[in-house]
Amino acid sequence: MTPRIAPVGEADAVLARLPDLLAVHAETRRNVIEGGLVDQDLKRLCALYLAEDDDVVRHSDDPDHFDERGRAALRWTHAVGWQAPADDTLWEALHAHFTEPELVELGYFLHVTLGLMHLHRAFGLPAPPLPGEHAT
Amino acid sequence: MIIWNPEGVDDALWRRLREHFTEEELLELGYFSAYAFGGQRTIKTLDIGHGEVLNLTSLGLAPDVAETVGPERGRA
Repeated sequence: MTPRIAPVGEADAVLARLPDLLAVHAETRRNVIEGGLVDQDLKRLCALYLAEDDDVVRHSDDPDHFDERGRAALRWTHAVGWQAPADDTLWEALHAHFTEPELVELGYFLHVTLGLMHLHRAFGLPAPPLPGEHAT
Repeated sequence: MIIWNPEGVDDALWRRLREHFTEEELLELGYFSAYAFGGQRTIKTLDIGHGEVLNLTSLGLAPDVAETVGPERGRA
């Protein structure tokens, strides 16, 4: 029989063991991962880079694939994910393409996404859904 | 393991963890570790240290370090 109401994802079912934690996570997902100031496509691109998507990583600095804004975001993503230097040149590029509130949001998105990816691997859960992929 | 080798968390480690923590505690501790890990990696790119900006919390710091930052500092 087909369920009339879609079940929650496996990760949410695990988080539901701590209702307060699930609530905090749902708020972050609503306001930062799925919503917020920075467009979802760019966040999705950064998440794919953190997930080591071959195509995104290979072309991360290619102007034929990504515009300057996207390339700056991917350079920051690389610095967060791989502890690479985040020098003045990177920050000048980021400030040229993002407002400070957008940088705060994107930074928090990278923070949460990197942590979740590691948590899911350690717990043996499927990879966290990319922005735009979470079933509501 | 969550930080450096998340795929390396094996059954033996889970058995050890379950000897000392409930499932709920493991979930909370795991989420906390992952959250702190992502945060530390991100603020490193801002060239700031924990507690240097919006010095409102000592969350995640060792007790001796926590005494030097956060709202508890200077309290009677």
